Amino acid sequence: MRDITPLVAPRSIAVIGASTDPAKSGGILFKNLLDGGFAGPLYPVNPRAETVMDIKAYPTIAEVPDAVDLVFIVVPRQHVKEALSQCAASGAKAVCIITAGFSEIGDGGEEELRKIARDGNILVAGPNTVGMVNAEIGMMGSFVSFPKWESGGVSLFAQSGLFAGVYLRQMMSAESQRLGVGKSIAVGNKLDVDEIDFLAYAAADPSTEVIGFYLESMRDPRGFLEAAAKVRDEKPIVVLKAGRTSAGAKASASHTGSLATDDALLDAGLNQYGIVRAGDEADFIGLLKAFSMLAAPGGRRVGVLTTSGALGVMAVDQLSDAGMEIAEFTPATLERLQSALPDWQPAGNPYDFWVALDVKGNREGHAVPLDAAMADDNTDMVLALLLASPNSDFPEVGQVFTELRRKHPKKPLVLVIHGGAERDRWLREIEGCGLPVYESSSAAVRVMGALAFYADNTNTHR
Amino acid sequence: MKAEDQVRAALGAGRHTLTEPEAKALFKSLGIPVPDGGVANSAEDAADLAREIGPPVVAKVVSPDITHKTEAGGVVCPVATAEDAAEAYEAIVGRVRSNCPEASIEGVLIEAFRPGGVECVVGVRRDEAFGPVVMFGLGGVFVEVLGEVAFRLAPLTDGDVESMLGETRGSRCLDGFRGQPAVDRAALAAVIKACAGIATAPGVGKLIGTLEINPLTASENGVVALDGLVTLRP
Repeated sequence: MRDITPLVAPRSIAVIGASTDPAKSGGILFKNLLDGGFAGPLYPVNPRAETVMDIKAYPTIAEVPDAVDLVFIVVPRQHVKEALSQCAASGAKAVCIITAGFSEIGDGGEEELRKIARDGNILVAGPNTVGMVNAEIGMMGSFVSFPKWESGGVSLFAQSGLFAGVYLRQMMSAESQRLGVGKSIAVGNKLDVDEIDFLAYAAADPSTEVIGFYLESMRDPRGFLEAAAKVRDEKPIVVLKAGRTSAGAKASASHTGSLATDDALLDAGLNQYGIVRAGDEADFIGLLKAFSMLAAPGGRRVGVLTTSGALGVMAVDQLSDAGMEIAEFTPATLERLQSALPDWQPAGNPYDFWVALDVKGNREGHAVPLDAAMADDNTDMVLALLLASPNSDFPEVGQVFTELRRKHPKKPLVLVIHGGAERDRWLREIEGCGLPVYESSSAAVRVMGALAFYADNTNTHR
Repeated sequence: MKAEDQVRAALGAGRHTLTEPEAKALFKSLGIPVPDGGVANSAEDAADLAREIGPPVVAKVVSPDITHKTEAGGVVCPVATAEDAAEAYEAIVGRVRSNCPEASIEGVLIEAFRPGGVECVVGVRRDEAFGPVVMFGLGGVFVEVLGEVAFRLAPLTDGDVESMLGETRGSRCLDGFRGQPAVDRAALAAVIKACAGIATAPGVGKLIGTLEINPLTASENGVVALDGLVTLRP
């Protein structure tokens, strides 16, 4: 097993093709690294500049005074081979080739690059990649302009730019939903470093808690599954494998130069080895959010609390389709739930509590029933479907949910919130305290099913 | 003969598929029930075998060159008496000689006729990427029209086998329907495990390309492998 630390967590970085023009890819990437506050030495390589963004530049990698851990190559494709050879000669340990135009368009000379890398004992990410992020050490190594974000326990490996590119930026921007991504390694055409290398790294990495893979091909599916099954008890794994259909596989082959895997077998294998499979990009992020924020549930019994009767009915249908059970609340829980309702409305599951807002006020009307359900011994998970509107709003939303999470850390609480302007604030405050919010009852039920699947498989060893 | 010796003998003879009697012998060595039977080399043989087994029986051509026996005119089913078995022998040899003049005929398999039961398909194959893969499905329309089968990667746990049996919609037929009692699930599970077992066995496992039992009929009294195909990897 190879150690890919120099690629994912380098101590020093050089950028071949670091541009003085902050609008060019080589300029944006270098600026991201600077702005990200990368902890180690940073060396721009540019034969036509004395300095790049006030950092002393070197004409070639050979002149850089250190043997660097990682080199980003951002040069036109006809110069990539030469740049890689120079990296090998200079003793660099890892290279990330940003440049496109290789196996995704045919052969493109990738075999030659692979030979240089293997002979020089260099780890390679790319070619044709958006770059790599390790927020823990401030390596915002992407040609998409990135803000530096707070690191987290989610580590991503992607055979695509999406998850170190614009989509991740969308996910990470302060205004929208927060996913705690610490590392996002996009390997583009996957010339060298692959999912099995990354899995070994993430398994051993103390700050990785959840691992996500976006794959278009797999080098050794059986080897991956066997390795993943050993890791997933400690660190849940979510796999988004595209190219399910033969048309999809063809699109993928032209996208990042990959070959299709028999999807029915992959599906069966993932299921059998207890690895969660995501359906699309939103599902992938939704699952990663759930696994990074919530504990594994003790079973499939769900308490449904809602301020909308309709959402409650839809959720119960979906829970039943997903093989979940509607929890039977204990008498003590029912008594607490009844205390928030007028006598004419009996408490049950689903528990429809809009009227509780009149009885208890907006804050306690939410806090009391949610706490009762979270405390219930017959309930393994709680699904709360809430309406955020002027007449249900209250200022202490974040405080109420922080308290719920603190009091019941082992019980998953999954939320769906609909509403107007208030919704944005609720969402920010609730996700800010580490509880996941979903766009629809089906998305929420989907992740609850995945949590239950994960819990079923945890500690069952093959 | 041990499964491995049998497989190596066929490979040694330059063949990549087992004939039906060889496949049945392999299944039997794995503990998978097969109908009583034997290979007849003459009409007289066929009558004797039919008497020994007890009619009704089934008569099927044995040829390494023919995989679609019915299409070649190589099957008579059922055969009611020993005399009919002798006739069936002559008829089969005659038809196959004229339909497939190139095919070598190694005799006619005479087997007990075992009607009834729920038709299932159990198989294992070695996939380039995933290694040994086990398949289970309900036969007939379920597998042919709906393509409904469950896959697992071998080796299998007991939980894998149990979940496989229940995975497809057709699996409900195993619980009994139209007054039929539920089938012997333990016997089905044992066949699935045996197939996974040979595919993962050191040595012989890598020599098996595909092993498919189709149909494997299941009833409350157990299971029986009525036909099967085994291909080998040199």
